[in-house]
Amino acid sequence: MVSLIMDRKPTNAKDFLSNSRKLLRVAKSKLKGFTKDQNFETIESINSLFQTLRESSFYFNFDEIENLLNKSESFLFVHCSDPKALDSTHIELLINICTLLQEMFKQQENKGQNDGLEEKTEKLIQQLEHQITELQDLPSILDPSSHEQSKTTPFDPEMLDLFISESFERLEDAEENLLLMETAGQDSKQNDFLKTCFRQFHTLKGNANLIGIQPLEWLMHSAESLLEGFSNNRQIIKGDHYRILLKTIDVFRQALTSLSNYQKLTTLESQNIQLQTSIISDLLITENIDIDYSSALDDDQDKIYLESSDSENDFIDISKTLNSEKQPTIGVQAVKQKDIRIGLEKLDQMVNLVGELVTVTNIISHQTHIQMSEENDFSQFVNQLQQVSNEIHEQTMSMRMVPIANSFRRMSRLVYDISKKSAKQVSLTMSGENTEIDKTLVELIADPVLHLIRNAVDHGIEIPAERIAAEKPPTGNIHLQASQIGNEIWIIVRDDGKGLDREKILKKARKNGLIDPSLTPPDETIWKIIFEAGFSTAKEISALSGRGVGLDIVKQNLDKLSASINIESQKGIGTTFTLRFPLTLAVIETLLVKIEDNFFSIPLVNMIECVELKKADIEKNHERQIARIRGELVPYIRLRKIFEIEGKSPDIEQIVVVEYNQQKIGLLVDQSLNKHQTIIKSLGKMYAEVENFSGITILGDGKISLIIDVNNLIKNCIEKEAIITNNY
Amino acid sequence: MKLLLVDDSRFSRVTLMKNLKEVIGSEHTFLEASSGEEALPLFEQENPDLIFLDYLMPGISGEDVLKKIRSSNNSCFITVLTSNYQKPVIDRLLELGANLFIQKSINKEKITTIMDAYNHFRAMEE
Repeated sequence: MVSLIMDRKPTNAKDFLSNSRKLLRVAKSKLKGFTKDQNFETIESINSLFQTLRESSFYFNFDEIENLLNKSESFLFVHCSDPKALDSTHIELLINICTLLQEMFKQQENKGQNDGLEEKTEKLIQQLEHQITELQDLPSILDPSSHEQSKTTPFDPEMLDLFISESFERLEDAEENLLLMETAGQDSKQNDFLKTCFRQFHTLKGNANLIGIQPLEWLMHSAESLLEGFSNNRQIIKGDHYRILLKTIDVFRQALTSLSNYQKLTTLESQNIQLQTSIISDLLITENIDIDYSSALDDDQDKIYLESSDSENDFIDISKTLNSEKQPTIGVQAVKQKDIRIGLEKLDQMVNLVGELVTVTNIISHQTHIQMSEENDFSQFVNQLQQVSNEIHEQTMSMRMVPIANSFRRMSRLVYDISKKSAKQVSLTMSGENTEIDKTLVELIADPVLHLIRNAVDHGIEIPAERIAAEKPPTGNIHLQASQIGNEIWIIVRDDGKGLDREKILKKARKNGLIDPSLTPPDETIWKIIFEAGFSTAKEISALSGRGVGLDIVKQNLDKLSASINIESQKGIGTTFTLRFPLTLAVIETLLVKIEDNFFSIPLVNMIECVELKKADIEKNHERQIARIRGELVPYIRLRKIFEIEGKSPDIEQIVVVEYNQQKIGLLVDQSLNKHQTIIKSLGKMYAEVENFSGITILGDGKISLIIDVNNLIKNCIEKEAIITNNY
Repeated sequence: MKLLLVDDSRFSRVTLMKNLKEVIGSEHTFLEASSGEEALPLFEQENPDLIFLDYLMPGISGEDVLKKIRSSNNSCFITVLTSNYQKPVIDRLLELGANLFIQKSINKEKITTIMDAYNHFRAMEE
């Protein structure tokens, strides 16, 4: 590898090698004459030398040299912020590095044999790593501006949390605006996006400074300077620049994650931040942008300017002219706050407690009719209690609601990334981002939506040439829409691609035995097949999708959320996926049914209707578990048998008809009671293996009802062949 | 004393408030606004003695807030906060009627200096 490149650029490499050795010699002599007074400059110069050498080594593919330099830089990085901490061991280490580098360069120059250099390198790298980690453990290195605080705890945990969560929000906004900027191109709007992005970087810089994380402050400072440079010089921003800025956001995010996990930056994160900062700094140089170091460097200076009419100077340094006076105390304390942040854990606890309250209220209201004659007023109070507890419940649930926008924003980055990777041009538009959904739902829907978008880019949107041939604009569009309809949240993913290929899907489905070859099912049935496990029509397996593990996972996840999916597709025009989620996860509408003395709840989302089944009907069908409902044959499952409940079924039973995979299936129960709003409680870890139930709910009279997981139940029955179905 | 803190970053506001309370005590009225849009009506309503104003905000900027307030009020002490240190900006802001201009890395020493300036300003008024 090395020799190949050397052959291609023989002179360059040779010049580089001999120059490098010269530079290293100078650096060594500087280090040898090192005194503490002029330390900063020396270290700075060594640092920049290492940086240049590393980049060139990278260019010439001198991997080992690059690696060593990388480590050396990290080592210097932690030292640069506090050169006073340098002692003779460190200097000696640096001199050793220089010597080793000289030897390594010489070896490259002569293309000579390895004479124990590897061993030496390894040893030095170990030493460096040791030094780096040792230093990283001292938070004061990373936090030189607030020594008093760092002695005990590096950061006030509450402030750190606030910093982290706000930074995440700002990064998302910056990311969104960066992406918009690129889409806008030379549009006049581009400047607005640039300004917003600049402002976010600026605030992030300020906040990093406030909390005392200098590397992040520097990173944001360089990013900010880059944007400022673009805006001032009216320069055209290239694709590379966006990539670097997006990468910067990623690096910051990773740093935040590490901060929230370890309360400090890990060595790796510090290195990444430093590297990213240097990448931007290099870009600033190549783009001829002057970086204003003064605003980031002058941490220790108190820059305060006072407007004063009685002074001849425009500015006076007030710290010198004013004496501190007695502090005034007027007014009373009244802190105004518009909103507060509540931890999700606390809120979950609250939701649980309110759930209990509602349950207890229901129990009491159930009891009152017995005691009503004795204490007539009591029922009135119970009614009130019920009303209040219902309202509290509603309010508490609404606290869990957050706008879906956060989840959507991530998607624009995704589309950006994948359209860069594939040869397709894709834009993402959105509507209804302000729709509020349950906080837990935000996390859970992200994955299915992400898969659908990936799928749309990979299978839906055509390459530009194909699109032009089909008289479509070369850039494909994916529209993401959220809305609240009744008790559901609808999320629509619509692409203007080539649409689903009916014949292709049908062929494949028949081949894989997913469909009976003699049947020609309607479009809707065929579209649903793409969600079956092991189905993928992609000719080539790409990195994005097409491994046949995409969409069936979507379906599984959606089932877990008791969500449904609907597909519409027209050849040449595009495909629309409509996801329908229940508004909140904790409360669902169910039908309460009874078998002997046991109560069960069937979610209404699954249910179609409820019909009677007489003994005579069963006999008519020769005991086969099939009922004729308005001329249609519906197979049913005798829940009494599945749940192994002893006793004799009544003469008239009830069939609860539910939908499963586009097919009607009946669940046979003794009695269907009433619809009710159910607060789901999980079965707990002990019963995690129980497959047929998704949770329990406590009824008005304190009895327990198991909530049936309809999809899983039917699936299990089909597997055990406990049900006769048409096409399975 | 009534203080109004205007900054779109909640983290910045909280840090500033914490420092302020440590220096001047918490027995004052602390008002917060997360934007220029919020700050202006709050200013009209509460007429604060001292304002901490972030320079760079979305929507109505710190500079606009400053202009608006100064068009009708000269008695309020306005401190502009920014991490941008550029002389032309400072000049313009002071011209527009800002009393103080401070760089945004807030610490107790700076707060003390600001409060000294504020007291001096009030003393001069009398």
